[in-house]
Amino acid sequence: MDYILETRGLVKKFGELRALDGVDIRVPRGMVTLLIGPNGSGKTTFINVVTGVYRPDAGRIYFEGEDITELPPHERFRRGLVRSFQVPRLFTGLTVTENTAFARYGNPGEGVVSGLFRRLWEGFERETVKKAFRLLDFTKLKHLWNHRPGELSGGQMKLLEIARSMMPDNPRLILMDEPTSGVFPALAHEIFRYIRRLREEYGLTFLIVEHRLDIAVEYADYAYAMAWGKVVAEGKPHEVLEHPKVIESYLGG
Amino acid sequence: MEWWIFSDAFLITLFSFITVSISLNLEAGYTGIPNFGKHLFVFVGAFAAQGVGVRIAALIYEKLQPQAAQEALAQLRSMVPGATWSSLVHAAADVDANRIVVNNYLRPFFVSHVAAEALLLVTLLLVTVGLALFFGLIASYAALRLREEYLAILLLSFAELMVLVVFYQSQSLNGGNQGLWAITFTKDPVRFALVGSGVLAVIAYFYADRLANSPMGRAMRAVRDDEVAAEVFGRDIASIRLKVILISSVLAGLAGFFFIQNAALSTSLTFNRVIWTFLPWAMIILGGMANNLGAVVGTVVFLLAKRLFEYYQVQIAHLFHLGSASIAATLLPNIFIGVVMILTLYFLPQGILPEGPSRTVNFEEILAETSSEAGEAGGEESK
Repeated sequence: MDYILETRGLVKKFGELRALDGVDIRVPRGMVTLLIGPNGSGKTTFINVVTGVYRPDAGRIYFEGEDITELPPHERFRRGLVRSFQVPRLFTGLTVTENTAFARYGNPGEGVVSGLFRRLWEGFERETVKKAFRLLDFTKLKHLWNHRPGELSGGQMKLLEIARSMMPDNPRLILMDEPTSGVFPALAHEIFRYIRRLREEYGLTFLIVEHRLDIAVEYADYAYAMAWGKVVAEGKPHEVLEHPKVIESYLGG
Repeated sequence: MEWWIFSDAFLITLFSFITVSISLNLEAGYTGIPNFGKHLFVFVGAFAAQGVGVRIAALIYEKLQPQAAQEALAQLRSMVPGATWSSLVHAAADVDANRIVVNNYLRPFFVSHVAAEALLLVTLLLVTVGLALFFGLIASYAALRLREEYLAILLLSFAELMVLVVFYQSQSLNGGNQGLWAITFTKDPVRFALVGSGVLAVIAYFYADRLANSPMGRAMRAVRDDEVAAEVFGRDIASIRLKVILISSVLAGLAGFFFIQNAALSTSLTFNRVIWTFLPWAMIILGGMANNLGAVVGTVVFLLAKRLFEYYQVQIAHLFHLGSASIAATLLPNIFIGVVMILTLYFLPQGILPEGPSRTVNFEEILAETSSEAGEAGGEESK
């Protein structure tokens, strides 16, 4: 099989705690892969290490065959690695529209000189704002387009996170950290259906950390289960769910 | 010009502060860089007209007028024995010698030779920009490595070290505690300062306004709000911070350059932390952080109020039954400013004009367009 992302022996320590303890995860290209596990099993830490927010203490990360372990986060993004945050990290001073529009990288107007010349970036910017409104429409946030994140409910902030992670132009792998927590079930299904559609139409790859297994499982192609900083099972989503180690870890072994 | 409270000096001060506030607002309000060393960056412009300016002017003068330079030297040797031309061009020798060189030789020469004066002006403006970029680079080295509070303290200490210790203690750099006469331009330097600082303020405002309403303005605000998220979405936050610091430093330096045109003899302490760092901070907090018009309004309101209080100090002291010469009376403006600041922060925590979105394009228009598109698409699906 062809893998877009591969980690080898990833270790991340917080003091004595080994949040990641030799994690080998391979994300198959063009599929929706789930990453499940109880709280504190290291899922979010894994995403943070892969996107460069944290530096690993050991191990390597390969993206499209390239070793990206030492790259800063913005360089990883520019290679097509996009993520959303579990606890929304929105720009509090920016409106909902601006939060979404900012996520599209490559605006020629982002310079202290080029910003002055409207004709250099107006076309790109109009497209950006259009795309932002479409995503806001999809995530049912359009009526709040001119509000600040502080005026949104927790669920709406999550949705804005989702809209933002779908904004970049050429993503290859989208890492979503609990996209549907705090979102009502009908919309959660719709989000997963949209993810499937992106996968089908654009061949995008997804790695999704999720607790809402009842919903997520039917949309996923592959799954990894983590516990205590280690991968304890992998395979077809239904098989992973029934794996004795997974059941044990969820029930608190 | 002199009308009611509006003197030349007041207007030059007002224009200079408008530029400095706008520049500080780009850093602190938009990008979240807590520059508490702003006074150093304003001083840089004064240094370009004083310590650097006098030397460059003297060099040009000596080349073009070797005889007159010798003459001046002979006269000055009587005041400072064993003086050489290069030692006399700055106050390392003597503040009086510096005054004579600048006012009796350099100024008359350059004022009567337009081409030489224009060359000198362009050179010194370039020096100002160069010095501002140099100190901006040093500041950004820290800004890329330290978080908020640490950065604020570091920039303050760095500016204090330069202004209070290096430039104030060393005679040779900028005249130390005696100060230096700056190189001033045209027959009427006050008018030159007025026009220069005014034009600069207008340019600074329009520059900052366009930038704020461009994708760059949005990126700066995003970096300020959450640098991790900005980085994860592909932005090189180090480069954004660096650019903003450099641009702001240049604006502040130029403001200092024009301001010093009206304050010819001064020491580095003219640019102290209270006047040129804390007051601009107070002005942008009053007017509204991350709002350029707010920075202007805050500066104008602040300085007008201060000026009015000083102008009517005697009457106000009388009103409160204070002796007009008492310490309490002279402190009234400061007390007033303190009260205004507290009231502002309590009732208008976002300032007079709060931050708005970066108006890159007409959002409403695009919203309407996409709505009609979506409506059509939805209609097709339902068929």
